[in-house]
Amino acid sequence: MHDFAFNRPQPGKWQSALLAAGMHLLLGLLLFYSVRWQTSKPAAVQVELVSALPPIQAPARTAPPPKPVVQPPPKPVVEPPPPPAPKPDIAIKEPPKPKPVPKVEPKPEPRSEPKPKPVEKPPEPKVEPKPKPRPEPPPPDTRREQASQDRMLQEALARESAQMAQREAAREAEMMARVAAEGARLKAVQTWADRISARVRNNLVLPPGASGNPEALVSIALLPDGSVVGEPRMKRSTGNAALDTAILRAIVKSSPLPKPDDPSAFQRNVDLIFRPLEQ
Amino acid sequence: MNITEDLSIISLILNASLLVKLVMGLLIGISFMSWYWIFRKSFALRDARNRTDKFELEFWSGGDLNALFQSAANDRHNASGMERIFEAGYREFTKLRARQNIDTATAVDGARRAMRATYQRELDELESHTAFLASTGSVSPYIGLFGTVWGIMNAFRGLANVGQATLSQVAPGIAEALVATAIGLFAAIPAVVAYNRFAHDIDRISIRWESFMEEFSNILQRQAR
Repeated sequence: MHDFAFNRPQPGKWQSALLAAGMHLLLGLLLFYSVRWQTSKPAAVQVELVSALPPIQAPARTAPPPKPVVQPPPKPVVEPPPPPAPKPDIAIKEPPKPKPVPKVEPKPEPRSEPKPKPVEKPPEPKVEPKPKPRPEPPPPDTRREQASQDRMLQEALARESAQMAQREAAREAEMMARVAAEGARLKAVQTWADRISARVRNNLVLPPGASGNPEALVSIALLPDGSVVGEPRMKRSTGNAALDTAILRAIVKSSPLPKPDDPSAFQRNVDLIFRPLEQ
Repeated sequence: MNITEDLSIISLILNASLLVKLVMGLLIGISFMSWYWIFRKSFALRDARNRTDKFELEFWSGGDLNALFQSAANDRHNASGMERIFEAGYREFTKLRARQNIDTATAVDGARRAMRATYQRELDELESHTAFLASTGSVSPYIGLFGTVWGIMNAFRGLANVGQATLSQVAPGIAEALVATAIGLFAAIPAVVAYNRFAHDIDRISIRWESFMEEFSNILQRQAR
């Protein structure tokens, strides 16, 4: 018998395996690079995120510092941190106080711009004679309020304005950088808001009798992972109590809310304008 | 389910459910094997064609049959199908001729049967694994379809849990599921094309071998006189 068929050499075994592997690699690469579907959601106009806007306007940052000059009590808590690390402090302050902007803006600028650094030194020597230069500011503040001595007050004012100038300068630089990223960030915030409201809408059980196009302003506290902290608060009611509770319930039920695509758009406190009945 | 989602092929595959992943894995395996055999068969067929050409040229150039037989027998591991057929027929013929009481017709018949057997074996060798290509071509779209149907079922089941259904909630699931069908088609199309091609090539080679067998029997018959 001539069973050569079974022990004859088999050419091209490895060659074929390699070619087949190459073929699939090619196919995979082709797929990977050519198939990139992007579903971009059309910008739905149902929701705006209110608190996202202020931080971009520079004045918002000046808002907190000037107040303390007039009202010493709250200051001690806020003041000590700023001089060493102005940036983070400012960043934290941004979102919560958007409105005082216009009133405060005019004052700080005239004061601060003429004397950006020279002013910074005088306060320090004056403070040095006292035992504790930096940690002390809180106590002097309260004491000064009680005694209302002129000298100390002026000293505090000078120091205040120096800090203000410093802060102003830092703020100015930071603002320039931020304004550039502003457009992209706004967009990210908007899509994020759209996604949040879409999620909430899915969980919303509409009470009977709701009609028209009511609008609610809800304040939500978020963790970075999107989960809702505590109870969301209704800042502006829709006018329908049942609808309000339904919205709040829907928000709690939607936790964790979607995260923004751009992590920088994330904020801890979010004011959401929500129109539950709008289609 | 996020409303905005990047659907790169990788994320589609990774997000698919377990069964769909299994189906995809199976299909990729099948596709790999089918390409492997496509390459191997095409090499083997090209080789067989070239050697048949060469041997035919040698045979019909009028050389000595004994010399030809010797070279075929010595190089049998490397011989082509046609060479083996020739070798088997000639060997049988000379064996039968050596016996005294056997007439020519019987000897030629014996040689022909030996050639027929070798021919069958060679043809079987050529045809091996083409059935795999055929079944890949016919079955893998169905496997892919199965994965897709399963994936879409899951997508819709997920949809049932959501109060307000939008297209964007189902779309990623369906896209995910459709990848399985895509892979099935990727595996099937080349397999079908290659199978048809190979079947045709094998037919042609087998016809050449068959006609050679007939012609060679005639030569043996003439020689026996």
